[in-house]
Parts: sequence; C-alpha cells; structure tokens
Amino acid sequence: METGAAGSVRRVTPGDDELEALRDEVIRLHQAVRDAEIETGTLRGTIAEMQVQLVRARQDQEQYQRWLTARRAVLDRLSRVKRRVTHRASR
Amino acid sequence: MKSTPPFFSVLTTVFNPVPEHLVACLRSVADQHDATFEHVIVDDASTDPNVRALLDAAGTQVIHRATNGGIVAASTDALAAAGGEWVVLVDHDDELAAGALATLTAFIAEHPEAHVVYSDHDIIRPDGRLADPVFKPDFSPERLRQTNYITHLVAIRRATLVGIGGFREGTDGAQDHDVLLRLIEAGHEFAHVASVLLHWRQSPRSVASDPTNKPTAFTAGVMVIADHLQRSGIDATVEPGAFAGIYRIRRHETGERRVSVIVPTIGSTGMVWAQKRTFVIDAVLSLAQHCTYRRLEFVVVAGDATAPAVVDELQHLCRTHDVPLTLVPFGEPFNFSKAINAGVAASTGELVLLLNDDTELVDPDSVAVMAAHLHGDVGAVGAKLLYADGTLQHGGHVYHAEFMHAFVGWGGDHPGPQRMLAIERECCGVTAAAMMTTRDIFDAVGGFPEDLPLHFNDVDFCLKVRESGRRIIWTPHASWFHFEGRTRSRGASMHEWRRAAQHWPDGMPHDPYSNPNLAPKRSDWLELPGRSGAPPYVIDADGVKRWG
Repeated sequence: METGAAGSVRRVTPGDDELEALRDEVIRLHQAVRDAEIETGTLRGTIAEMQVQLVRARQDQEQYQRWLTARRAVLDRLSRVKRRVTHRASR
Repeated sequence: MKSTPPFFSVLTTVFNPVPEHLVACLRSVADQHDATFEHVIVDDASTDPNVRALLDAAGTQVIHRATNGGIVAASTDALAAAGGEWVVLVDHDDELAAGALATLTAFIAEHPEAHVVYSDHDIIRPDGRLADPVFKPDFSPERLRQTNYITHLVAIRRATLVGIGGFREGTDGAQDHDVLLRLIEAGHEFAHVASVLLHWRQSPRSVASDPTNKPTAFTAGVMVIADHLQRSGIDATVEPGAFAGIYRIRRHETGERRVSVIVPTIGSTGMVWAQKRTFVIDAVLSLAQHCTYRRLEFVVVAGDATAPAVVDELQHLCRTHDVPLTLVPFGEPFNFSKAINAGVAASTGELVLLLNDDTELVDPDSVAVMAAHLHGDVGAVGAKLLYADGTLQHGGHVYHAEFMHAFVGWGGDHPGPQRMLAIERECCGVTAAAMMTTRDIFDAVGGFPEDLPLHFNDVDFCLKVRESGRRIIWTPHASWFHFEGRTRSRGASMHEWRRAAQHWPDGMPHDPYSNPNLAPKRSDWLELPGRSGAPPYVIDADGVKRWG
C-alpha cells in the first residue's frame, strides 16, 4: 500500500501478465504435488510387492528349517537303530 | 455302480529336444502309477540322431514323421493314433508330476461331467529346481480369451477334441489356445484340479523362460483369438497386449444404450493433491469433460447435508456440458444401498454406472469399455481404482476367508502375477465404487440390500448376480482415481457383520477365481507355506532329489 500525494490510499496489485504468471505457477505447483504423490505411490507399490516377497521368503525359510529338522530327526533315529543293530550283532 | 477308470493317451510331439530333457519327460510319464495310460509319441522328423536313438530305446509307441510338419501336423498324427478316452498333452521337455495321472483319474471320477480338465503347473528352472507355481482360477473364459492361463496340464476327452475338429492347421504356436477357445464355443465343461500336475521346463529358448521367445506364437495367438471372437459373434478387435503373452480385446460398443451414472453424495469436501475439492463436483466434471461415451445421464442422490451451492454448481456444469442431470433428494441418514436404489429408481438408462462421489475418471474410454461387456451372461463390470498416489485400490474382489480387494497398495500399473492385473477377467465381485450393470439385472436381483448400509452391499449384490448364472468382469481398461476413506469412516460395524452373516448363512462364499493353494486372508497371491515353489532340494539330471 502506498500513500499518494493527496494522502489517498493507492492499492498496488499485480498486472495482467504477473497475474497470468502467478496462475501458471499455481498450476505448475499443483502438478508438482500430484507428480510427487504419484512418485511416492510408485515407491509404495514397490514396497508392497517386496513385502509379499519377504513374507514368502520367511515362510520358505521356516518351512526349510522344519524339513531339515524332521530330516535330521529321521537320520538320528536311523543312526541310533543302526548302532543298536551293530552293537547286538557284535555281541 | 463304480465307473471304469479313464484310459489316458499322453500325447507328446518331439522335435530336436535337449536329449536329457526328453529322457526326463519320458521317464516322468513311464513312472506314473495307479492309472491306465499309453504314451503316444510323434517324432516330427528330428534331425538330431540322439533323439531317434532315445525314442527307439524308450519302448513306447513312436510314430516317425517323414518330414517336419510343425506342431499342429505332429499333434494331429498323435491324436489319430491315440486310443484312450482322454488325451493328455505333454511337451517333449516337460515332466508330469509324480502321480499326476492318478490324481486326474480320481478327479475325473468325481467330475464325470467334465470334458476338459486342467491343473496348476510350476516351472523347472535350468538348475533343476521347481519354482514359480502358477495357481490358477477355476474356469474363467474371459481370462482365457485374453491369455492362455490354462497352458499345462490339459486333459481333454478324445471324442470331444475330435468332435471340434482336433488341432487346426495354421495355428502353430497357439494351437493349444485355439483348441481351448473352440472348446468354450462348443460349450464343453471345464474343470480345474488345484494341484501342480506338470513341471514346465524353463530353458533359455522356451516361453516358460521368456514369453517373448516365440514371437510367432504371439502372432498366431492374435489370429486364433480374432477367429474365436468372430465365431462367437463378439464384435471386437484384438491386438497384442501391453505384456508378452496377453492380448487386448477391444469390444465395440455402439453407444446407443443410455448409461445412468448414479452418484450418492452429501457434498463432502477434502484435500487431494494439495487442492481443496468438492468431491461430487469433480467426479461429475471429470466424466462430463473427458468421457468418450456420450450417452450419459447423471443421477445425483443428494443427502440433506449437501450444500445448495454444490447443487447449483452441479446443475451449472451439467448444463454447460449438455448432460442431463436428475437430482434425487435423500433425507435419511446416509445409507449407501438405499441411496443407490433410489438413484437407480429415478434413472432412465438401460445401463447403470454406480459411482462414488470421491472419484475422478482416469481413462476416457472407461464407460465405453464397461458398457461393451454388458451383453449375454455378463451381469456386472468393475473397474481399476487407484488411490491418489496411483497405487491400486481395487483389482477385483477376492473372497478367501475374508472379503478383500485384490492387490491393494501395489503399483497401479503393475501387471500382477500371471499378468492378472493387465487383463480383463472374471471375479467373484467388484466394488460398487465404480460398477456397471444393466437396469434389468439390477431390478431382477432386487437391487442393493438396504440392511447393509455401508459395507458388504456390493459383495451381496455381486453374489446375487452370480447366483443368477451371470459372470462378473473386472477390467483394467476402465479406471478411476478413488479418494477412498475421505468421505466416510472405514470399517464394518458389528451390526453389519451380523447382517452379512444372515445374508450368507453358509459362511464365506466360495471364490472360484482364487486358489486353495494360496494363503487365506491375503489378496496378494501369496502361496501357503511350503507351496511357493522353493523346495530345499534340487532335482539333478538323473531325476534324483538332492538336498541343500
């Protein structure tokens, strides 16, 4: 705001060109927000897919450990039986 | 009376396979048990002397063609030589799973009406590991049009296959897809065994390794689908899809049927992409401005809370874009089902598009794409919905121990496992946030259940549509942003759960488009533990399991 010579108040507003430029900038900024959000979404989507792969890998690992434990138990039992049989045969 | 077990003719056409792979294939068939079968092998004039020697030593029926004629000619010879009631197609480098034919025998005894039986399959990686199981849906004809999701293992009654004319000349590379499409046309019953019965060899040159490896198969695929569409009287064109192995079918819609867009609203506002918006205004505006389907009318069911300024703006924008608008005052507490029913009652279109007010059109052809599906036995069509950040909000419903949206939160342009998010396919249900049906079907099934005001109403509607013998299609080629959760709170109340239970006294409805090998309460196709195709052993060249 400026005070004129006669003491009246004169409003300073942007001209048409400046207004146009401001409008363009607002549009650009909105588009930038939208693009940024979509880009974030792309990353979120990748994370969502990777989370599934992670759960799958954990499941597989647990399953693998169960299989190995079961297999080891069978092998241990076989080994004990074998030892017993060998022991008896040697007596 | 106990039926006679089926006699299978396993048909294998051979042309210069890797000898070890052929040996593994032959052994996998020979090792089948608890089933009656023959192995019919047609050598399509292999030039590799090792192959001939291996076949001669195999001790099974081998037909040697004098000249190489391609897979259709060889398969035709194999079919002519087959003596079984069922034919089972096995490629020269693939392997039948142990007990595959026994499983088929038991399954066919339980499903005597089936003419085509297909199973799940997995991949034999170059290192011998079995991986990447493909757990398929039950019969899904629209999906089969857009991609040969069935592939392996397929067993077909021999008389049925002969009855449709066998393998068709000129379809080499897509001959199996062609056969399956012609079986659909003939109205034969397909049945699905939800078990891995075939291991598909992945070699550097194979389609199992990379679908782009056989571009001629893809070209042949376009041709067989185009022929199928023509024979079926479907007015559409077909082209290669966005990903290898899938096709884009563009149905033609005359645009003569009026589409009534039913939009319940209370005139909510909110921030999206850092801008304040009045949701219903932007939802209607995006359609009025960008939709390529011109025969629209809007029916806005306006709750009491809707500001008069919003109503004025709606009227103004519809006048500006020359689209008819009907305003239906809704003076009750918000009840989505009631609002939808009131909107449809006030509409004049043959087709109704139920649309949430917190949406924005993405694909301008969405309405035309959805409308084009609504012929024959299609009862409803759903669209791809995206959150504001472009991630997927709706890829069709999945009912697997819980009601879910498929692949929530995945990238909006992700094709999904088996490209299922890139193709049009049958679903058990679709969300009413953007669902199209016909006015006749809507009325015939009694509209939306008004005792389910916010949740499960679309599930119930879709179940009723499917109970009436109609299919529900989800399409990725119709899409909207859906700013879900911005206009009302989320989560079903206990009252709604109780009501829902009354609607479905038999419990959770069966979802034929999921698979029992998948983990329940998940909509991302995660397999059950131990079924991801990552066994802790390797099958070596001698077919022996080696641990570690």
